Amino acid sequence: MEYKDIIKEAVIDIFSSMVLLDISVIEGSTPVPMEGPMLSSMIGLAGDLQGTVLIHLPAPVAIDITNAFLGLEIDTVDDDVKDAIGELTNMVAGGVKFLLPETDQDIALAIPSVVCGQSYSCEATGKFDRTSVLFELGSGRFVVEMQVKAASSMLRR
Amino acid sequence: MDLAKCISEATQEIFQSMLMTEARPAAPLQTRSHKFTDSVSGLVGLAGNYRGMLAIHLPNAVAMSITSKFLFMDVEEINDDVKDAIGELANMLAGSVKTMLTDTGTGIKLAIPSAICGSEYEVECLAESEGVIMPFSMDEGEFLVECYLQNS
Repeated sequence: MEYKDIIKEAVIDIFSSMVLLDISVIEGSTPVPMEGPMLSSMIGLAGDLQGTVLIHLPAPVAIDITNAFLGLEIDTVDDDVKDAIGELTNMVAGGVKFLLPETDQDIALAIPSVVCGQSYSCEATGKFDRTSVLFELGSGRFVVEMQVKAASSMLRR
Repeated sequence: MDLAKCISEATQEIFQSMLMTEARPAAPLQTRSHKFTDSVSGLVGLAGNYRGMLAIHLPNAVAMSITSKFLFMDVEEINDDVKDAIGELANMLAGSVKTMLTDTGTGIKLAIPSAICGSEYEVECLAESEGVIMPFSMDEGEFLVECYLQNS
């Protein structure tokens, strides 16, 4: 499976079994920069594959996911939202790791970090390959990304 | 070896050898402000026998000054050069902390560095344990290096 399909399967699986929200994939549309308050959650992958799994969400979408996930009725971004989105990222990265083609790859996960604010940028540095998938919920759209160290630099490792 | 000491030594060493600049450490902080304004942060995930994250947080002016020293050229805005330099700095710090913590350096593996920048943002690591937060000062200003580690 390609990274794109791995992301789709991992995310849809978690939403249908744990978050319990209707989710669809928006195909053929390049994610545009989000506006307004938002969150980005990220977790590192280390070992035979080096990279980061990231989720970028507008604040209302992050709140919607948290309420569905934890059975709450929160209306602002608080610690519960950060924890829930961090845990979601952890689960997505775990699903991605499980679905990666070479099962003998030794890949370990770091711990999630959550960034939030109005206008910030958050992405890998140096040479990396990016795979993004855009998802849609009733409350809006969000992006799940894998940023993986570029193959040429993997050889020099 | 304790983590605060590792961070202090690694930071001073890297600033001395790579930037020919003195990074003066102060006592570890218990907490830090949640919000960073006009700043750049470099982050690297740690995984393996321990799971964790190492981050460096710098005001824009300090980040630009470090980048200028790193690349031997003047930098006047937060661009990709600055993000790459700060990401690489976080990567070097994580690499030396990793080596100090494990004799052979094999028990911990590094993810890839990321950079965050913006006019106002929060960064929070969702670790189970308290992190170590070390403040440093250099002529251009102050910055923080923090590290979170937990057993896998």
